[in-house]
Amino acid sequence: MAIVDQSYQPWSGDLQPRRRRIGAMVRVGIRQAYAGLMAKILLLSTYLMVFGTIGILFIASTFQQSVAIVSGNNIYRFYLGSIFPTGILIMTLAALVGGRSIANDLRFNAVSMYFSKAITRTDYLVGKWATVSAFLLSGTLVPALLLWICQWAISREEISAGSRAMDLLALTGHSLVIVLPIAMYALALSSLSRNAFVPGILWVMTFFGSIIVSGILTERVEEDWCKLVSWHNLATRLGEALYEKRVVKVQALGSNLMPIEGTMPYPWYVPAAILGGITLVSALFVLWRMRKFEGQE
Amino acid sequence: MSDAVIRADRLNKWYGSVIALNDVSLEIPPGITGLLGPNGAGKTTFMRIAIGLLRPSSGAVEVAGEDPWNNLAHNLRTGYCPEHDGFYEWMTGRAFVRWLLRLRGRSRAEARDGAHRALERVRLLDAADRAVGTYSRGMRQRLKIAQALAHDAKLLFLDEPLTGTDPLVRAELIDLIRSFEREGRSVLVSSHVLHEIEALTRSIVLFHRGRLVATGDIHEIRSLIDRHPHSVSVRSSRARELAAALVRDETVAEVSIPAERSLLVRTRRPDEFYGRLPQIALELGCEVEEVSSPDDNLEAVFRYLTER
Repeated sequence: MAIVDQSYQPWSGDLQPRRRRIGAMVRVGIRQAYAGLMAKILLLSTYLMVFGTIGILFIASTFQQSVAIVSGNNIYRFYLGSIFPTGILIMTLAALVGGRSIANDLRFNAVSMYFSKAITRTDYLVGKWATVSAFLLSGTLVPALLLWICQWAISREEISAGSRAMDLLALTGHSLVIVLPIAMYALALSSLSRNAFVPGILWVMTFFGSIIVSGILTERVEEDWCKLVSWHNLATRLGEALYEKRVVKVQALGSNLMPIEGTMPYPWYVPAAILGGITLVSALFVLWRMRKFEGQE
Repeated sequence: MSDAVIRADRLNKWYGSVIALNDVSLEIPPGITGLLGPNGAGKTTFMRIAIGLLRPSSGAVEVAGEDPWNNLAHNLRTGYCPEHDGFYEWMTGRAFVRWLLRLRGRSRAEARDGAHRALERVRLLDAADRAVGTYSRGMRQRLKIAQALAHDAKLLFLDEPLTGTDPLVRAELIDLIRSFEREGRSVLVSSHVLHEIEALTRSIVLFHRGRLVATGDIHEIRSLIDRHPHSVSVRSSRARELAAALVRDETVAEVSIPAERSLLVRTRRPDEFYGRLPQIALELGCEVEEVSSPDDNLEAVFRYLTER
């Protein structure tokens, strides 16, 4: 053979760190997630509802000394802890975005595009998890932050800056407790099929099924452990644990606490272990499935 | 020690109970090498093992002296153009190549410049800012090649890069691939069409049903295939007129019309036929949308090679 040119020059630049490479993956994933019409409508509805609530509360607070839901950390605690709208919203967004995350890569043969680059299987998992989590946080953390700011503006209580900072940490932690296990579980389901519809349906069945089964068991068996069956209860109990110290201070101020569904007489580490276990098993399942992808493209 | 860029030693790969590669040992030299075989022969599996996308069930493979599995340095030196499209259709061609360069660890500026150079190289700059979903088959093939070479890969793996392209695009892509060799890169290119590989290189590797059947000079294989009629499938909106013109041509042995807009031509002189087809289409003023070669004729050669 005649090689006459030989002008090839290998690249000699610096390889960007792993976090940058994963970051590039996450940015594209989030753009893709926001491109969905249904996801846009759901998020827009949530924000309209949050801003509507803020408006009503603002008007109410101008006529009353104290509105119960604005007292202490009630407003964002209630937002993050309620099945409606937050539970349903996150369930639907996870079904839409988490469900199609890996399924679409399988469907469009995009997995090899990642693995033939400087992206390992672990990087891929972390990137997908970060993508789905970041997207779901726009339905939990961002509205909760808006409500936190609103509470500061509307409430007539004198709450120290330290308590407000603790609230901020608590609502951030609560949002993560809701989102991270759901995102990883949705990815595990997403790795099962090339059809994004299947994991979405499986996730909705898991979420609703756990609530229904927990309700039936609680009714029939009447034991405390029955509440642990509900996914929503587990996240809510963990969230409550994050607000615990702050709750005492609100009570000291004499404000009413809003009742949050799903509280249970178990220490925080019990639901933490269950949700942590689900997340870990889901992550291992995705990594195992990625070995199975080999022959699928 | 030889200067082989890829070396496989008793390589096996199973998908469950299906054997995709069966005891393959070979050495692939620098330059362009054609990986030839019918669909399902194990070409893609071999390529994916050499890229590091698959782990062999047993045996070993070395690419540039290294094990490709889970090897970041290897990924940075190699470029892969997969057979199937793996695009996010909503992205523009430019954004797609730039994004993949970011996944390869390039900075924002390097990714921007690298994407521009690669798209220019494959002559896709005019359509670079259009969504990939609007691209034709030929443009998609060019884009896949662009992303494979954008990071200055030393070794390129091109899986069926000419499939489904029209004669003009095919000629351009062949020129492009040959230019990689002139620059000093090595290219492993797969196809199930002997004629395509012949236009690229003389060095070929033949796979059949997961086994290595032959390696070496294409001319030896050529003499075998010329004993069998060569089938060429042609798609055109004026298939009947084209068939009438082709049947009068001396290079054509037989023409049939298996479906609307589709012709199946059998020829014993494929080289001449491939040269004549564009001329005849031009004279008629009819557009040829796609030219492909079914496996049948190649199967005959493989049968000969495996049964002799």
